[in-house]
Amino acid sequence: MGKRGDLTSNRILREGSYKYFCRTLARNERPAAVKWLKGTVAKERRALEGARRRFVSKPTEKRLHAVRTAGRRFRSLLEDVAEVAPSAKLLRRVKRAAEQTDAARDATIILRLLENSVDPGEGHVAEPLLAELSARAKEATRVAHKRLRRARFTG
Amino acid sequence: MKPEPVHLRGVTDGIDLARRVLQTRVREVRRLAGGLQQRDQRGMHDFRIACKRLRYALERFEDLEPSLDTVAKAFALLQDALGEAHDRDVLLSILPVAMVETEHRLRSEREANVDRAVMLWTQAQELLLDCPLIVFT
Repeated sequence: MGKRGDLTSNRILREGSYKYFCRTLARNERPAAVKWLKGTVAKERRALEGARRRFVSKPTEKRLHAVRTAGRRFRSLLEDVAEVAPSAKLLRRVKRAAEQTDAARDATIILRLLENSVDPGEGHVAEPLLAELSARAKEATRVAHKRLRRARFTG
Repeated sequence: MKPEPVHLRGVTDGIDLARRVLQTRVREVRRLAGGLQQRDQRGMHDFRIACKRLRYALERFEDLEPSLDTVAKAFALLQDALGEAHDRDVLLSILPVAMVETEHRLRSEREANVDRAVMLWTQAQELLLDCPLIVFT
């Protein structure tokens, strides 16, 4: 694993949790469990960082979905292993990034659903809501793009 | 909804770690399954989030126990059905009152997705019973 790719796990381990993690493990099993944790954290961090970069380079609906999914996976991992590898700062960053994309996701999904569900006889009633959702989705995606440009998930 | 903390003190190896995480996430899902039976928006939302956490944990530990793949896929289908129902709940909450036919359609689809989720949850529970890393208490 490259030096750059391992930043998060190294940082988590450097900030004291490595000792804490080791203390909680049976002595002869430490290397395997530490290796697993380091590798998994680094892998999921890279997945999120990659998804973020792709969205920043071209903010499409599909890429936004990829950022959110990678973020949820990473957050879930950090929450699962919080007792042995606490990383409150990183977890906050991941949660914040998810919050910054919530509005864009909600507006986009609801817009698509409404477009596909409108009864033919009620199209005229739906028009103002469709226009509002479309504007909201566009603006929320722009805001998410702006915020994710600055986001980093390195600890 | 905050996740139930996973107690990992004294964890011995990767398998032990996986077992403890999965045990906690399964307990959480089962605790919140009442939301699906009641079919209410809030309860179903919490249950859906818990299912997501369990699914991600199952997928993460597939390398250690390949049979988890089948359970993870079952939870992915369940999560899809719950997500479709949730999206309709959100749209129904902002739909203009005059859109009666659309509302009727969305409500029918919502109920169909909840029915599907109930069926998928039953199947997922059967798979969990056979899962080597999970012991029901």
